[in-house]
Amino acid sequence: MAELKVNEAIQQPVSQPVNIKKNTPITEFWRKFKRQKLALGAGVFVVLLFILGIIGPFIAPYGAAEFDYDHILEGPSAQHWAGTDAYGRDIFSRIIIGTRISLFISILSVLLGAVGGTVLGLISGYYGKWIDNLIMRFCDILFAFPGILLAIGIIAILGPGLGNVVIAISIFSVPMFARIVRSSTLAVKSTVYVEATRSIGAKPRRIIWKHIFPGTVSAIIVNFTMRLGTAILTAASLSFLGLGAQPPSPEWGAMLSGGRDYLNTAPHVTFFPGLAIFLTVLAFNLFGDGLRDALDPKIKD
Amino acid sequence: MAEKLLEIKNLQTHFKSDRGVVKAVDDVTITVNKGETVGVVGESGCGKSVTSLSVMRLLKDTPGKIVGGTIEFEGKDLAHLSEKEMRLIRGNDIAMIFQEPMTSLNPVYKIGRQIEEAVMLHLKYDKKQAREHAIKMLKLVGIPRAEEIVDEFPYQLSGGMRQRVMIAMAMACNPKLLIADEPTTALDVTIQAQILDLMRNLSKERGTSIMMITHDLGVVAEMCDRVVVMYAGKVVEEADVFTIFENPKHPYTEGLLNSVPKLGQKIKRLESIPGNVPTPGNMPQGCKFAPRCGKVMDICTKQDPELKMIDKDHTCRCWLYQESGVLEV
Amino acid sequence: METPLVEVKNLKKYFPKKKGLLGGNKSYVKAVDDVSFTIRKGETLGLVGESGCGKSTTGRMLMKLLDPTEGQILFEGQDITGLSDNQIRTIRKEFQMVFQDPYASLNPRMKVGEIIEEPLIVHGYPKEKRQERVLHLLEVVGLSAYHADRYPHEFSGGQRQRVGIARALAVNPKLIIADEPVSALDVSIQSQILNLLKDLQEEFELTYLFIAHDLSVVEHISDRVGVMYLGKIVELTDKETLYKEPLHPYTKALLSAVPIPNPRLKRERILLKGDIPSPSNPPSGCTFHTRCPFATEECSKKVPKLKEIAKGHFVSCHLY
Repeated sequence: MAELKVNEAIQQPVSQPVNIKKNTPITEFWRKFKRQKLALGAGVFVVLLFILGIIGPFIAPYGAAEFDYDHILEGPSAQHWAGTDAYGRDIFSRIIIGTRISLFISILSVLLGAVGGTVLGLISGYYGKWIDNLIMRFCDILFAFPGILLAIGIIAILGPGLGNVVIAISIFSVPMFARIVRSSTLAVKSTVYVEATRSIGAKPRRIIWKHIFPGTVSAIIVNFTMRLGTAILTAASLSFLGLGAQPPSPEWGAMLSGGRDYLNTAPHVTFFPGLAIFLTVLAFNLFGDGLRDALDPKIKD
Repeated sequence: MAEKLLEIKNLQTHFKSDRGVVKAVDDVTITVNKGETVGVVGESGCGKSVTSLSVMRLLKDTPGKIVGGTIEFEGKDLAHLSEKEMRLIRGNDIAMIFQEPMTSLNPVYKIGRQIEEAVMLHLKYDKKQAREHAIKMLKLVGIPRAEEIVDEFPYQLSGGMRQRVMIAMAMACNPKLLIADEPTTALDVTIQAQILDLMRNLSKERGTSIMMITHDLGVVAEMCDRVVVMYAGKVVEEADVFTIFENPKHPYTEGLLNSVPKLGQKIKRLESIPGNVPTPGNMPQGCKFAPRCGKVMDICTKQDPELKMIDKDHTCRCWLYQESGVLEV
Repeated sequence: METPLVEVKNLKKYFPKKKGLLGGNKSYVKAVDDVSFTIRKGETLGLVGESGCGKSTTGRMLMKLLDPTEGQILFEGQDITGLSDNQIRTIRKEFQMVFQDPYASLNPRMKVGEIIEEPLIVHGYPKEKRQERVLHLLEVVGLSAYHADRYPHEFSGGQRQRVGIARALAVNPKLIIADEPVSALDVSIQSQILNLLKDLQEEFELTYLFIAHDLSVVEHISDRVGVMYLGKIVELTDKETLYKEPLHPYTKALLSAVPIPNPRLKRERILLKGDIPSPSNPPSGCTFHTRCPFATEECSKKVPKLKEIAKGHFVSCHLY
């Protein structure tokens, strides 16, 4: 039988000019987002993480490098909620303090990648032709490497260190953003309102920044969020391999690395940083999913 | 008196959203007699399509629900049948064709198979009989090379041909009632003329009743015996096609007729209905048409008028033709 | 004779269609194939035709949204086909467009005020006067000042189309190309917009190119009407003649196919056979001969020319 079509009556916008409720895109977004309880929870977690990233060092019960050789490799207790490591440092405090490093690396690197990718994607999508081909083939090449391998390769050239981790992650974030922005650029470029703007005589620069770029922002935000999770994971992996943050830095990956010798005797040393990474990555992904559902105009209520 | 086939009485279909209840269909009464073509006219959001979906009970995957009234079809109340009983009626006794023939056909199945499916289910034909029947139906709706088209996919056909296939599919089980929801809106004028011609002939030959949902008054004038005019989820006027066009009573019907440009008619300005079609979230008090009506009275903005018989076979929902306060049921 | 506002000469638009793996063997979709017409100052020229007849493509070429494959477009005597993007931008002011779908033609992320202001910014209107102009325009099209702060999705279709018209009017154009401006609207709203367009034409001495598929609407608003079929104009004349003495068989069929809201009217209907052929593979000779009830052998071989057979009445058919 013929499939059901949603009736026009339902799709009509409910609000009307002479009404009380103001219906801006932001309130619309919030209305859709708050319905997704899981994403909302993840969002709260992400916000807490950011707060922790800012005030972490001030509220942590112990310092990141506060050695206490009387209490080494102790399990969780009332005094040390997540136990202590081989040098008697409080793992819970180190995780809190390390939040800032993880967030900082991931945000900075994804931001750089997003900016580069967005510019490339907009140029590629709007102008098309040879420049599109050039940019997309370049992206294909970068895509051909598994992310972490590419990062290791870049670090191998630049040398280990947090700054180079940021560069490595941002470079392999570029093609992803470029592709996503390019495809939304193509979609927005073919809309009638862009044609209408061309018809009033607007220059390409205006069309790109006033009309096309805002149309790609939601896709950028969603992927930015999702990418943060991956970036944290990659940064941690690189640090774990000794290519990123170096001990005694309380970076989560470095902490994992430091605890691996005691995996059998004191599993909590690796468990808690691992849990922090896991929860953070999961929260960013769930949050990103929720954002996508709320921002995607195709998902109607 | 003609024999009743479908009788929708005081139908109410509401949609729940987190912004409140939307009364998409709010008190609709329509009767379709045997062999008759009834036009349901109205603008977007007037509830005409929801009415047809309610009759077909195709609201399951939407937030919509029939909350009141009855839909009597050959002695059965469709509003209260189970999904299983309904499935025996859908496509068999009542068939539906939609506006957009591309999205209503499944793109991955061959055309023949889509027709055969319904035939095998309802008429209990075997594969071979069903295929023959499908070819016969395609020929009936004027599709050339029917034997070949059976094995083609929907995308290989033009819009007009697809709508013919839809009609063939709908007519395959010889339904008693055909609900056509804007069947020609997506088609070109010359193709529309062909399809309307086809529908008219089929209904005449087979005695099929048609409930024709459309916004095009020209189509109504050409196709229908009786016309139901809807506005904001309610029936506002119902009469035979001549009365509606020549002696409309409801100010909305009148306004609608005057606002269409007619070929060959020399007028400088069209009469138009001021304002906008009300949206579900913003329904006016009293008569839903009052804010746009030129003959609005005090009572109109306070109390909604009832649908009342004002002449033989002519009903109208307007305070101009009924005394205020004295409500007859 | 006065120079017409727009003169279109032998306009063609062929869209290349890749065929074969290597892209060789190119074939073309002949969307617009040798179209010529003029638009006089202050008149409304209607272009009517069914899907794929090239009426919208013609409008878009006039707007320079598409580059013609061949032919000339003269605006006040000046050929604009060869102009660069920068040169065209200054002339752009003189012609504006109203689009079919009022839902898609307004950027959903911009407030209505910003949408109407945009052409003013683009064409360097002084900043301090812009706001005033926007409010004035809103009033002109029958909206209120407070609407400027709202987003398009808060408006109904008819109101959005008013916004689209206000945007088109912003820089005082001479020519407005209206591409199916009412076909997406409800019946009772259509007449509001048609009346508004007529009022504006009188008030601002506008010239319209009105493109639509609905013959009744085109006939109502236009002074002269061009009927298009598969990329060609088959008949062009004033609207009275078109309605009373249509000559081309396609025009006749089209006129008889339009459903008329009068149940008593029983007409002799010319039902055309078959579908509209695809413009990528149009029939030889006269493109209409496959569906024409009067087709002769000549029609399938020779392409008819658009001839003036009475004053101001152009027909492209071998019968005349």
